[in-house]
Amino acid sequence: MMKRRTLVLALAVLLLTGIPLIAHAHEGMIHILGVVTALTDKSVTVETTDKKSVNVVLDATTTYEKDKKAAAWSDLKVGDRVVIHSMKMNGALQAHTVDFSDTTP
Amino acid sequence: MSRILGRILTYFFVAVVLFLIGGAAIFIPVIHRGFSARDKPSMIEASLATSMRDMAIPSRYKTMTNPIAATPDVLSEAKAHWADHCAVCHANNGTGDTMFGKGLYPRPPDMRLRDTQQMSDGQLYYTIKNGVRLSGMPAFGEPGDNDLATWQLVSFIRHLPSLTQDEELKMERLNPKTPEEIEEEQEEDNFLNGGSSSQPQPQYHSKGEDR
Repeated sequence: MMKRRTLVLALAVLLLTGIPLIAHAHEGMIHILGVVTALTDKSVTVETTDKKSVNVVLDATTTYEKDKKAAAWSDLKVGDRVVIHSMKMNGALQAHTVDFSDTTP
Repeated sequence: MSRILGRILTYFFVAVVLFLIGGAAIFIPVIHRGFSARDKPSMIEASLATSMRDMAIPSRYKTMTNPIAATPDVLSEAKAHWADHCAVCHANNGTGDTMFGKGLYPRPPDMRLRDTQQMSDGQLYYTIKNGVRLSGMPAFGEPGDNDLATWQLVSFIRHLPSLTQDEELKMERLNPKTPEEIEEEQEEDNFLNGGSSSQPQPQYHSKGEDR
């Protein structure tokens, strides 16, 4: 009986807290500002301005912009500053646009 | 005679009953489920709506051609106009893939495709000027056939299938923005130019990003 009540309570907490968080992430874009620390054709790893490491998935629909001009994945390199607009899909951050520059601080 | 009349009345009664049963079978589940703008119009509804839209355009517009040439200056002005007024639903590239576009019923069409591109210049002009009833498309400006800004938009619609990524990026800067979005864009530009950012990462944004 106690076990069942705990399960119901856990489900209620999940419904009240978990779903709004998921919906929020899906509603809009997630912005990431940082420096590229690793890069493959499938993903980019960014050290954010608050020193977290974030991995973002790249795909064929991702668009690139360097210094306000259209660019390509091949122009992006480790050490570049990036502003990534992404969406959370299937638990991973999926890049929509990657704006970057090779400016050093 | 009365036997024939009786048979006709019986057939009529059976037809009415079958009609009511059929109607109930269709409408009761729909009413129970409710209506939502998230649904996609059925093929019948889409076909009927397209026919009605075509019928709503006076025939003289079907043969009307754009009186202005699609020069770089005309397209430049039209892109700025489109980015400011139309892109919120139709997207800069005409796909309709925006936050508002995705929620409209019916969805705005992908204007790069044949269904839109096969419309005459006059039909496109009339649609912009008069809107489309029972859709999200409003009527813009004053009535009349000599609105240059609208004819420029028609030129831009013709240009949509060959719009480049660079043109899209330039249009993005002309899309309407809230003060928060302007501030955020400035912070991002500042960061890309070597400045620092004090924002915790990642930053979550719930609106206005899908334009």
